[in-house]
Amino acid sequence: MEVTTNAGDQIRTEAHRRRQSGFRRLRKEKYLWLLVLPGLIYFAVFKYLPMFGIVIAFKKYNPFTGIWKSPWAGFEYFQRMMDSPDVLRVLWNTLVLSFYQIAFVFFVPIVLALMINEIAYPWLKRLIQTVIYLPHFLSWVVVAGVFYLLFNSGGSVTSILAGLGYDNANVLTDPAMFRPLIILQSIWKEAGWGTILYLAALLGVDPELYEAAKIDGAGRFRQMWNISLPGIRSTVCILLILRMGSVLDVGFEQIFLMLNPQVSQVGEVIDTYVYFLGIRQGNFSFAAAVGLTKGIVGLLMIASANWLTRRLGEKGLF
Amino acid sequence: MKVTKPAFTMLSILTTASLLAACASSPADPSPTPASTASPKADDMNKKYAVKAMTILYGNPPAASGYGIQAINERYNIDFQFNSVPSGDYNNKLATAFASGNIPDITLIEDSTQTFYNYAEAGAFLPLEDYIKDYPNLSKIPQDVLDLMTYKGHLYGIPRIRAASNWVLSIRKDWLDKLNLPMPTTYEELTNVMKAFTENDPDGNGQKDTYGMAMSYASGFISSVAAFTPTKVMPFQSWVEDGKGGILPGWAAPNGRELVKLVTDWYREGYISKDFVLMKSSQSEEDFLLGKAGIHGDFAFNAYSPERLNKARAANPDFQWDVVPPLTALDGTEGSYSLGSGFYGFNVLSAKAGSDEGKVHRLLQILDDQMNASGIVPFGDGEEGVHFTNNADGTKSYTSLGNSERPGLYLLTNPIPEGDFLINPSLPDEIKQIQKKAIDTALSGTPYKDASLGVISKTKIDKGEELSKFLLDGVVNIIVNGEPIDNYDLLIEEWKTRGADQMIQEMNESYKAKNAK
Amino acid sequence: MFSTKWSYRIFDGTNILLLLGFSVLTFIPFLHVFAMSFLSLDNAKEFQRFLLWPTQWDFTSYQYIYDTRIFFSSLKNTVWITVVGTLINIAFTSSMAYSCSRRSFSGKRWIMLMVLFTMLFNGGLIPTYLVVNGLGLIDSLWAIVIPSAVSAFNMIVLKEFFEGIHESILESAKIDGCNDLGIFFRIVLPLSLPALATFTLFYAVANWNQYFASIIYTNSSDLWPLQVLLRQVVMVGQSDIFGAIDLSAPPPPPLSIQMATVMYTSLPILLLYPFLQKYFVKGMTLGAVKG
Repeated sequence: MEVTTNAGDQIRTEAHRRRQSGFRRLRKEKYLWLLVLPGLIYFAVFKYLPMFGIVIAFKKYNPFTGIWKSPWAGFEYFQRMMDSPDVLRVLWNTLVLSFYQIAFVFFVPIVLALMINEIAYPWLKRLIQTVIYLPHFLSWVVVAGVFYLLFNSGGSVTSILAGLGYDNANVLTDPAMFRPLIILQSIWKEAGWGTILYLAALLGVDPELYEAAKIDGAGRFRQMWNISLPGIRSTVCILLILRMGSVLDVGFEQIFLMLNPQVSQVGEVIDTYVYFLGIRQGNFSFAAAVGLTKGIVGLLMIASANWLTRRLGEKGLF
Repeated sequence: MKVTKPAFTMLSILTTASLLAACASSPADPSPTPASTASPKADDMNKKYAVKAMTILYGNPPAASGYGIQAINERYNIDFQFNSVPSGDYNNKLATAFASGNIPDITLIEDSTQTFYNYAEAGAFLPLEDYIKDYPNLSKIPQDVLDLMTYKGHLYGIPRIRAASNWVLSIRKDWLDKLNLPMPTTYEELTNVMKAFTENDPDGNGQKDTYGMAMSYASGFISSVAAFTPTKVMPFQSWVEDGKGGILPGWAAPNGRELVKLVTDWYREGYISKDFVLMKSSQSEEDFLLGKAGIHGDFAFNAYSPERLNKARAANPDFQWDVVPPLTALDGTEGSYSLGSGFYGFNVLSAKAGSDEGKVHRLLQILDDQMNASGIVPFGDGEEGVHFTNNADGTKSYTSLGNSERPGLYLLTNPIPEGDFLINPSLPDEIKQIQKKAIDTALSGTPYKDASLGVISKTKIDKGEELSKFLLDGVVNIIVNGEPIDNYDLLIEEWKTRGADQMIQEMNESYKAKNAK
Repeated sequence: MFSTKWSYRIFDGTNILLLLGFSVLTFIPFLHVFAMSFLSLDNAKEFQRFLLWPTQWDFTSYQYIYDTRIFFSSLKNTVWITVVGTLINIAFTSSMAYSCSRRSFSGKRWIMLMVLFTMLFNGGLIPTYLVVNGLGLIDSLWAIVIPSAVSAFNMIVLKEFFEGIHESILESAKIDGCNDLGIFFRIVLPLSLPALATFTLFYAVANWNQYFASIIYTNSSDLWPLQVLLRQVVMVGQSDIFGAIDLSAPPPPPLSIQMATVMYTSLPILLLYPFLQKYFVKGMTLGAVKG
């Protein structure tokens, strides 16, 4: 039967249909919504509600006066951040160190996980895993102390280096050694712990694939390269994208403890710089301005990384 | 860290004060100083107040309830809540307390910095200048110390008084004797002694394993300040007179250039450790105590403790230490050590508490009592037999209950040291002697104070820290890289263009205005 | 066959050798920390050497920490925080991650973006404190576990793991009459044990080590967790006070206190790990796919 309707009616019917499917949708998904509700409430109350505090970055904030009553400062703190004579150097240091971290520190746990995955003896696997987790539990203060003991002018490693011909090695005060030292320290401390996630991901790889590859004559290395690695590719991608979000975070405590005037040219990063500039004096507005800037940069980085990942055929974060 | 050391010492002073009072012939009178003699104004002791106090914790946290709290509650008719915060995170805790409106009645503020000025400006604190004259101990506080916590004409803080004597230089007496050297009196002689310590095997073990002076560097602070203050070069946050009626920051002072040259030489020759930039103060202290270095600078009231001596003697039974009198300054003028600010932290009263006069008086009464050694001391120890036992030699030992809940653990301030310092009479004679010598030496001549105390400048508040850091980093780099002294001039130039020029100008205006009064 | 066996052997050998090498490197400094925790005042000189094994078995430093008045109460608090906190963490995180992992879920995209956003921007210390204060949580242990109920990072990664479960399994369950809740509890969770064990470990360690929230949100030392106490003890030790804990005896050397602290912190977690080990097993994921 032919039903003629005018345009208005048509639109109303469309909307009606959408609303219908909307409610139907909700009912169909009611358990999913139920499950997601606790988390949503959490984020709403404890993450989004306090976000009004971002306005602190634009105010001359005094905790006693309160957020609303503190006077406006506009972009004054952002200006101060930019005007600082060292800002370019500090930014550069941060970016270089971050790049090193992503290039080197990020991939070590992946390699280690692949290697551990190949061990056939469960007891050995467990032993190695437990041992490499240990440094994660040391605080950076302790780690800095240990490194001092090893690398100071009377330290064990320094003596070894002298024996190898490197006299007067000043590893801890040589600007050229600072970044490699930080990277090595990070790898030593966190690589082991970082394998946990990848090992869990590797468990999801179908063992039949290995069987098939073996029959086809593939060696161990080839199996690892063609099966294990692709198997965790999506995990790696996600983690990499997330890492890009914190590109301007290079680890305050570690760097702070390893800084000294001789290496500050290359060692000072945004967080340590901000610390000296005002956090010590409770300058929350300045810290808020820097935090906001870091967030914006991180957002851009994640968006780009995600776009790039999708371009390359992977799933991406969103 | 700088603040905690003297603070701890204050706690031990308090302990010694309690020991001293116990030995004193006057009977320990546990009855409270009656409120009626303190303030004639409205403080009805029958009215119970809830008192909340927040301070920095320097040791084991005391029990949240128990004998001590109860005794305090009874004595003052209050409901006492004592909140002690680990020192590292105090600033954050302070901010949350003030932001949320849960402001304690009595709060400790560490120093007069931007935080203090901001809160004072915003009206968070109660002005106290009209009240303190009514209290016997509060009114005894020196005016120049009170000036340091005054803002725009109003007094806001009750300081925790500490000994005025400051850093002093210690030296290995047995090394001097062994190498037949006299006590150094000038920087030239000091350098010679350091050279001898480094090269002439003062410990006689046939190995070249010793060096001149122990130094360390942490949080932008070169220790062994006692080696610099005689020539009027103070730590970078402190200012000195420039000889022309104005003031300048430490390393930029007139003798600063000469000193940088000297220390650069020391470093190159190995008279100070090549690692000093990496060392922490505990490490440099160990170098001195364990026989690696022969000279070390530290607080006069801290350096000569029995624990340190035991540690040193355990490693080397021949260890003998002595105090170096202030060296002649590099420009030839008489040298003297520096003085401390006279306080470490001060207590503020919340403006909200001001709405009830009775409460204000109660709070001030509590603080006043605590500043009176003989008033608080027996009370602070708790009950004999339960919290402490008296030993035959007149000293006290605290029981484990005493260590966790005696009233003395809840103190917010400390007694004013009589004279400059109370030396614990139960210490061995050797220690007592050298402690006295250290304090006398530190105060000999004409010791001078940080000239920037009480002098405010907007640029100093905004940029002071970064400028100090820039200057000190530059100085340290010159020293360890062996750069020519001309770089120092360049450094100063750059430092000035970064804002130091304006800061110096403002500080000098403020300084002259302050002294004109 | 011969060559395969040998190439396998070489591969294994090299693999294990490299891993053992790395393990030794990570283990040695830890051994050093262990050794230093047993030093006492009379062998102060040993601190300057890089010890690898205790020269003596002197438990003074451990005793010192143990003797602090609030050692047991703080240990109790930490255990409560870790157990209750981790339960809350896993419950909130996994339920949220599950819903967001379902392909057809209509809220998926914007919820994930919303969560991601919180990783980059946050209101800061004071606004968060004001919220917690407004809810009346201050001065209770709940202020420690609730404001940190979900880690955005963990949730996002867990969601990825959930997405790795073949849709076909879930579809067949749907056909069998299971609703979303049933699928979650009876299929997804059991199939995700390795991932769940991983995040349980992450959350447990984070809860065990936490200290900052306690300092900010609680005002009484009775609510201190172990980490706050340990940090305080280390700080006290470094400040050269004469007998802060017990005025009748000098404290052990600060460095050995610090190292003993590390042992107290890490050993319980290291004991937890083998317990979780049994969940890190292959096999459960895959049987279902074929069926």
